[in-house]
Formats: sequence, structure tokens, C-alpha cells
Amino acid sequence: MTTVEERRAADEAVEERLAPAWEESGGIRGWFTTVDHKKIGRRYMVTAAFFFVAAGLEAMVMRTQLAGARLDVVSPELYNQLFTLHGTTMIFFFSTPMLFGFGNYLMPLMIGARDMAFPRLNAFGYWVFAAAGLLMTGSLLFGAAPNGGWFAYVPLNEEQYLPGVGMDVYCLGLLLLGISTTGGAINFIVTALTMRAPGMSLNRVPLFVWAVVVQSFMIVFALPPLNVANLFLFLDRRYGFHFFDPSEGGDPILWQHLFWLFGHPDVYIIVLPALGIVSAIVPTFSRRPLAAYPLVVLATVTTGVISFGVWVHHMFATGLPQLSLSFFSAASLIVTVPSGIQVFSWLITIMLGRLVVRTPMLWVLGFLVVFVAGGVTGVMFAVVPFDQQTTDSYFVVAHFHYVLFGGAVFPIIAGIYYWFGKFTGRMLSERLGRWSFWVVFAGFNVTFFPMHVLGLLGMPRRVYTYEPELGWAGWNLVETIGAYVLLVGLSLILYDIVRALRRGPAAPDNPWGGETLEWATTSPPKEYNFPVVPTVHSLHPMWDEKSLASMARDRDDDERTLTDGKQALRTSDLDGVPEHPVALPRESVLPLVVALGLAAPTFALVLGAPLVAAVSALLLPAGLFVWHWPRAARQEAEAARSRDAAPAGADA
Amino acid sequence: MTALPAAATDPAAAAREVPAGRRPGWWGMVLALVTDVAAFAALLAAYFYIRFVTAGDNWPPGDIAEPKLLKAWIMTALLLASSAPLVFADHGIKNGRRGRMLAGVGVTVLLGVAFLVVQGLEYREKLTVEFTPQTNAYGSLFFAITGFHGLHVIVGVLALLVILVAGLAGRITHRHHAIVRITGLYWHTVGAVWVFIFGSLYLAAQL
Repeated sequence: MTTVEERRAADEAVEERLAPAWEESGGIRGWFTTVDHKKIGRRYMVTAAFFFVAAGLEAMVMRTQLAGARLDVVSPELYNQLFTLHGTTMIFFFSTPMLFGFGNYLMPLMIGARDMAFPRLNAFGYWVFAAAGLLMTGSLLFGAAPNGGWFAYVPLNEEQYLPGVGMDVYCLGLLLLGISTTGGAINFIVTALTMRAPGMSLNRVPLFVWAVVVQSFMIVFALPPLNVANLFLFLDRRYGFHFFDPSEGGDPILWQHLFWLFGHPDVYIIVLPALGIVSAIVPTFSRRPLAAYPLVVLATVTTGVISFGVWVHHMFATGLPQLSLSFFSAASLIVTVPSGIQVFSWLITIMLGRLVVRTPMLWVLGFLVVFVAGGVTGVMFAVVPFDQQTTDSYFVVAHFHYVLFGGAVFPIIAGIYYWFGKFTGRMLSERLGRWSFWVVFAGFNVTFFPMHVLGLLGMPRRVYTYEPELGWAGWNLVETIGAYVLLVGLSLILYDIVRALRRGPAAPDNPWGGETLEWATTSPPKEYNFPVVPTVHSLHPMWDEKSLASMARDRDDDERTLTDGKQALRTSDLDGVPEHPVALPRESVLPLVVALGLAAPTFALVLGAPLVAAVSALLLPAGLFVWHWPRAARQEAEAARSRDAAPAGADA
Repeated sequence: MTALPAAATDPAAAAREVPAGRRPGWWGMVLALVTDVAAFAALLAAYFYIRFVTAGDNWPPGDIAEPKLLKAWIMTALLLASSAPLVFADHGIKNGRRGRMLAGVGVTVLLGVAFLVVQGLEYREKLTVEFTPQTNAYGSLFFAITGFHGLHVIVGVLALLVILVAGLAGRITHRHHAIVRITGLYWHTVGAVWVFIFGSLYLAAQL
């Protein structure tokens, strides 16, 4: 039996040799130069949470406006900005970045690596995301927020119908964000492919990591159509191009194809890693391994593939040929099969295990109920006649809130409760957690369930008010009350987080008895994560004596401690066989400089100053030049010189 | 002799039956190119959508003539030819022949610049005589697609210039030359993408 004390002793033996190479600057300087995946991951989560609060408050204003018929809380113009920004922010600046934060923090820990494959790219991605989010959310303060709906249909969003800077903010903000997201996705894939701990062959990769990898592959293929669409729209609006202009040979439907070719995969880009969180939590609290692990992996991959063949179900009402409607209807029905496999895997794991309901698991159980309800209405939309009746009604709004709030926000909160101790070294309160769950669960259903009814009664989405004689006021009032309950529940979580950060109890290394490698590190982990790189012997390294023992046994093995500088271990792509150490870059201000080289021109273009944009864009090649300037040969020569200069054995 | 056979015959490598030593940077470039090619695919898909679904029989639309081919053939020849010296440079530096690398990269840069010059001439002719991006959707697509590709060639030329400078400064050796291989991957892909653009925008437009 390997005791925690033995591992601690082994860790301490190597720590003093590792610490100097991995130390980063503190204070303001460290703020701008860090490349540590844990700090960057935390930043992603905090920044995304900030955008969640902003977009949530926007929704509260909308719900207040809709509480009764013919209310006058906000103007129609402001309401347009609110619903556009709410959707855009929640989809692009909260969900994906929040899950990128989890991925950034957890993926290297779960695969037993010391950092991501490209730490500086990681830092760069964060800065670009933060700049894009600042542009998007900040525009509301100047009354210049996007105002044409989060999927920006043309011709409405062409310049002559929607003048002003709002939709330019949308196009450029999303293009900027696209660069960050793509870089992050590539980083995740390469990390999972090349940096796994020895012995972690593909059939021992935790499901959360699989989910992030599939998500990343989807991003690699799905973001280009969105970026092309936004580039086209921006050129149409600002420079008089005619991509979507039917009077000059363009086509508005082209926008819809390009947007939804990204847009439907994006639903799974958001949901898959959230399902990965669920797959990480369920085994821990069922006290047994996940049922049908290979099937769940295959289901995750299959979902990713099929989701590229269903985008037209967002366009059933645009008058496309019957045959293509049938094809996409069938594809949309089939995509439910892999999702079903995942749901049944969790249910069977719970059934066959010994369920322990703590706060994270409570959120997962709530997720199961809500997500399945959203899935059922999703199947209804795959049926063409039903879709044509309810499209653009509140039924759609109800459906995607069940899927996205239920399928992403519930697991994210479950994940926060599950890993908070690892992230911060403090535990959240079990009692406040349970209270917040029940208040949110109630508030959520009271807010969003009546939207199904209102949709069937014919209430269209995106209206800033309605006439009293339509009889919608009662349900709307119920929804608004639900929204305030939801606000109270979510505020409880925020209070719990602030309270725990100030005086929460210290977190043990493995508070829940989890199975994956992040629980082998201290809470919070050291800069280098693992003093001794673990050797993995099963899918459940923390439940398996041989894997645990490797971390104590190998403390004298230089090939597992890698104390010769800031190093990580490159292992083979498929089998996780150790190949050689790779040097990781030290902290650097370059990611920030290059990100500024992208962000400054974007802001300048929005403000209509192309000259400033051109000049500030020069930062980009300059920064990239310094970034990629080859240094290895010179460093090697210098190291060889200093070895020759020192007398033999002097440094022993 | 070269690094590759040693890596393949090494007992440890033979035992795990996988090619050893793909660098993270190599994989990173492969994935960046995958997403980049997907962007070109989206652009070309938009082009064919407008041509076949929206426009109908008259293509190019209005009184725009079919694109002339002479300059485009020259551009194609220049860009395809430019890949060979880069392969030569890559093999050269792997064997420690710095001169070969510098010569190969230098020739590639010249051919890339020549491509850009011919593209500039073609743009001047089109913009002054035939059509602009603001003329109609065809013009918008033509300049967006070829312009996006031209930007890729400019980035490639800049990256190759960095290699040239670094090579002259002795920063690229037979042990550290991943930058040549990875930039080559980018350059060859940009060349291959041009073949599709040439086929779609120039050749297929004659039909």
C-alpha cells in the first residue's frame, strides 16, 4: 500500500530541484507574463463568469420588460441590443471560454502532464479572448452593441437596414474570438496527443479529455465557415461588397448555410465538454468505474461527426427542396442515438454503483432531468412539420435554454463544486451548495418551462412587448418571477465562492476520492503539477495501486523527475510510450504583445480608423518574429561551452 | 547518416512500431493547416453556391468576360515550382549543408515574390478594366478568395525570410531545423490550395 505520506516524501525530495526552473514572477509583472496553464485556466473561468453575470443581468432586464403587457422598462432599440448581446455573450463569451478554462486547468492534470504543449499560445489565446469580450460587452456602455440577433441574418443585418457600428462590433469581435478559440483547440489536441503520462494509451484517457479533444476537432472544422461568413458580412457592410445582396448577384441564404454549418456543431462544441464533466463526476459519486467507457468514447466521437450533417434543421422554414429537408430531418433524428448512449451509461453507472449524493452529484442529477427534457423537444424540431409551426416562437427559446442552461450551465456548476478545492485550495459549503441547487432548479423550471406553452400559444421570440388581449401576460409574469428566483439561486453560489475564498476550510488533495490524476496533485497544484511524472497502469490511476506506487518509486529516476530545466515528457501518440523530454518556454510578455497586435487593429477598425489599424497591426509580425526566432542551436552551443569550461565533476 | 533511418532502426522505436519524433510544433502546424484549408473550402463552397444555386447559366454574371488564363498559368507554374527548392533546402540542412538550405530557401522566396508580382499585375488589369469587388457578388468572391490566398503567400514569404536571416546567423543547424520542415509544410499547402483556386475560379469558369 502506497501511503500519502510516502508520496509526500518522494515529492519533497524532487521539489527543490524543480522549483527554480518552474518559478514565475509574482505581482503585476507575473500578471502579464504567465504561461502557467493553471493560472490561464483560472483566468478563463473568472473572465467567462464575468461575462455570464453581464449577460445574465441583460436577461433580467428583458424579463422585467416582458413581465406584463405593454410595459415600458426599456426602449425597443435597447431591447434589440440586449437580446442580441445576451445570446452572443452566452454562446461565444461564456460557454466555450468557461469550458476552455476547465480544459486548460484540468487536461494537463488529468493526463499527468506538466503543462500544455504550447504554453505561450495558451496565454495568447486568453488575451485575445479577453479583448474580444471587452469589445463586445463594452459596446453596450456606448449604446453601440450588436442589435441584429445573435445569428445576424441578412438582409436585415446589411448596412442599409441596420446602420451604425453595432454589427461591425459583432463581426470583428467574433473574428477576433475565432483566432483565440482555434489556437486553443489546436493546443488541446496536440497536448492530448503528445503529452500524456507514460502508459496512458488511448483506451486509458479520461472521458473529459476525450470530450475536449472531440470539441477541439469540431472547432477546427466548424469555425472556418463562421469566420468566412463574418468576413463577408463585414466587407458587405463596411466596403460595399455584395456577397449577400440579391440585387447584385449575392444570396442571403448563403449566410444561413455558412452560419449554421458552424452553428449546429457549436451546440455540441458547448455541450460535449460539459458532458465530459458529467462523465468525470458520475463515477466518483457512484463509487465505481463508468459503464461502457469505450461506447461513451465512440458516442462522443460520433456526435462530433454527425453534428456536421444536421445544420439545415435550423433552416426548415426557408423554402429549401423537400428532399434536402428529409435528409437533414433524418440526420437530426440519428444524432440523438449517441447522446442516448451517454445518458444510459450514466444511469447504469448510478444504478450499479453505490450512489453518494453530495453537491456536485446533485447538480449532475438535476442536469440529467433538464437535459433530457431539452433533448426531447430537440427531437421534436427534427420533424419538419412541427419545426415549421414553432420556428421563431418561444418554444425554440424554451428548447435551447433547456439544452444549453441544462446541458452546459448545470454541469459547469457541478464542476465548480467538484474541482473548487483543486482550483483554489478551499472547499465550498455543502449546505449552501444544496440550497443554491434547489433554488436554481426551481427558478430554472419556473422561468423556462412556461416558454414552451407561450410558444405553442404563438408568442414570437425577440418581441420587446405584446398586446394585453393576447392573453400572454400571466405566463410571462410567472417566467419573470422564476427569473428572479434563478437570480437568487445563482447569487447564492457567487456568495458561497466569495465566502470560501476568504475563510473556507482547506481542501484535501482528493476530497471526493476521485479516480483521475488531477487528484494526485496538491490542492492547489504546484507550478510543475507532478514532481514525479506518474506511470499509468489503468483507466483509474487513483484507484489502482500500481499507478499510485509509481509516483513514489520513480523519485530517483531522472527520466520521470525531469529536473534539468523546465521540461515535460513527450510520449508516443497512441500508446503513451515515453520518447524524450521537451523543453517548455519560460514566462514571456510576447503573447500579450502579439495579442495587442490583433486587438488594437480590431478596435481601430470598429472606430473607423484604418490608418491606426494598419500601424498597430505591425506589432503582429514584429511580435511573431521574436516569438519564433530560433534559439535552440545557440542555447545548446552555450551549454556545451559552459560544460567544457567547468572542471569535470565540479557541479556534482 | 541522416536522422530518419537511425530513428526507424533504433530498437526502442522498432518495439513500439510508431514513427518516432513528430514534434508538437509539427502537429500544431498540421492542425493549423487543416483549419486553414477548411476556410478555403468554405470560401470555394460559397463561390460554387453563388454560381450554381443563385446565378444560373450566365457565368461570370453581367458582361464580365471569362477570366483570361495566361497570367494564371504563369502564377500556377511559379508557385508549384517554388516547392521543389524548399524540399531541397530541407534535405540539405538535415545533412548539415547550410549552403544548400540558404540557396533553396532563397530561390523559393524569389519565386514566391514573382507570384505576388504577377498577381499584382492581374489585379491592376482587373480593377481598372474589368471589375472590382464592389461590382457584384462575383467580383466580391473573386477578390476575397484570391486576396485571402495572396495574404497566405505574403505570410509564407515573410516566414521564409526569417529562416534566411536565421540561417545566415547560424541559428539553424543539422540538429535544429524543425522551423524549415514546418514552414515547408505551410508553403506546400498554400501551393496545393492555389491549384484548387486556379481550377475553380479560372479553369472551371471557362465551362
